[in-house]
Amino acid sequence: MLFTETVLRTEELTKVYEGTTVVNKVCLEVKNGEVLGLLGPNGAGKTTIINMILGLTRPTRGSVEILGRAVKHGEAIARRYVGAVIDGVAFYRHLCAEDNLMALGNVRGVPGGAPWNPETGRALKDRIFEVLELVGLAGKARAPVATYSYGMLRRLALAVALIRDPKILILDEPTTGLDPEGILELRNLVRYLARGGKSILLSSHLLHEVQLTCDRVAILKKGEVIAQGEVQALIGRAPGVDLENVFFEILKEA
Amino acid sequence: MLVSTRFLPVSAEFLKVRRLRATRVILAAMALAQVLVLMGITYSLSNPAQPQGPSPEILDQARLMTTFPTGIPVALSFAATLGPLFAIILSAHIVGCEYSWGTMRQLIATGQDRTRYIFIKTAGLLLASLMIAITSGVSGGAGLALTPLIGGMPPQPGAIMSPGFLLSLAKALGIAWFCLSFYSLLTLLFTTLARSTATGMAAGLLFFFLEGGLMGFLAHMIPAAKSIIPYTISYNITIIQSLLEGATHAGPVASNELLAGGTPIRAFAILLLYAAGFLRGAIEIARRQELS
Repeated sequence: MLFTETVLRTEELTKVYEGTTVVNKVCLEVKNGEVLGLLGPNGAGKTTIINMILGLTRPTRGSVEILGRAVKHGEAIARRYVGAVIDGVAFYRHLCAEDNLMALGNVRGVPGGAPWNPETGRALKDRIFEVLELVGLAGKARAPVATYSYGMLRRLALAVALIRDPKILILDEPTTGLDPEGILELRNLVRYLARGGKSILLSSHLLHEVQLTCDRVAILKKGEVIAQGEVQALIGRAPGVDLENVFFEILKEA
Repeated sequence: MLVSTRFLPVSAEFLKVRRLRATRVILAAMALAQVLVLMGITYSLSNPAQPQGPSPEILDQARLMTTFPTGIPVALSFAATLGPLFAIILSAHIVGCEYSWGTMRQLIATGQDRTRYIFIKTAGLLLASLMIAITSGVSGGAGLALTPLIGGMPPQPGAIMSPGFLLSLAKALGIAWFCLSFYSLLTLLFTTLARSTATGMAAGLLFFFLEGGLMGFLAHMIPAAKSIIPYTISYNITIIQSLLEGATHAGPVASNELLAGGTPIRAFAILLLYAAGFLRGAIEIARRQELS
């Protein structure tokens, strides 16, 4: 597939914490309909990069551009086109899934509008049901989130990311806590969303999953991108080689 | 459509506040405390410990304040004076849990503007304060309705619909809500700064208990500091609270002499300026926070 339009770009993104550089001049590009995988060992800076893109952490240097617009820390306008599954699970455990989507999804942009208006309220409910269906939680929409398993919470996190039908999806370790069936479903869902034109930035430790899910990967070590390219090109270096071999080989070389 | 969708996050915030277990627990605790206080006052009025107590006229006036429904506006002074304790505890929970649960990160990651986030949180705190004030009025009414059981005056249900009563009830509710909202905003600032329910709550409670005393002590030690007193929070809150009790009542900070110069409108204006400062402070802190 040919990806043309750049929807997410980081330029020389750098983060220094108390004198320690944890992310150093990272340049990434995600194009329309593309799945970019962020790979790297623990402490490589994957989550920090994602936090800077999402406006949770202020970059020390460098910039983030979303849909051609440079976004400053704390500025939310361009970020409204982004849906995110951040590390860990963050929900109002006293509310049900439906209410969590309403409260956490920043649903201002959902076509449908106010819940007290019968017509627009129904459209919003329909959208909530649609995303819950997509992540396999429609049957549990009214159950308190406190009764959910960890895997279900991760699925709900994905529903929160999708509620506003964002153009860009950022998934930080989305498979954590999922069983093999859940991982397979997530992989299919990510591919389905990408085919539908969504651009996805995904960080994961599961090399096999990244190989099967992503179009391109960026490999990080100690906060720097040490290799970047199409998955097929990377694993096509030698016959019988998979991403795991390539990953460890590149880490060793760097 | 644009107008209607703009308020969706606010309605979601209201839903969160209403469904919090802490909200129910705190409201129940406050209602119980208020009923007990009213019962205690009624009992002491019906059974004076000392024969040489207040004159019968004063006792009758006091009994009227513990009669249903005329005593409800006075009962609301409980919300204005002790209610801030409950408001501080609840507000710290409402603001702090967003940090401990990680939901603030999720909201910001989903494109919520930080300034807007604080405004929405403020709307939630105003609702919580209103709920405390209404609960105080309802539990005050319930407590007053029970006072005849322990020697209080019989209820006068006819007074409920009188315009004078309704006006004084609305005024009392408004004043109680103002005092509660003020301390809620103070707690918003502290909790946003601390990013922790416990620390925000502790700071709010310490401020509530100590500000007046410390400023009074300062004014006592340094005569020049007396000029600051009319601008302190406890001084102005005391003026507002005294509107509910129908008499000037000296708080820990100020003597009657000091209070004499204050007018309610000036006190409202000063407190509104403080509240705007708390809100502005919370916004500036939230905008600069690293949510890693």
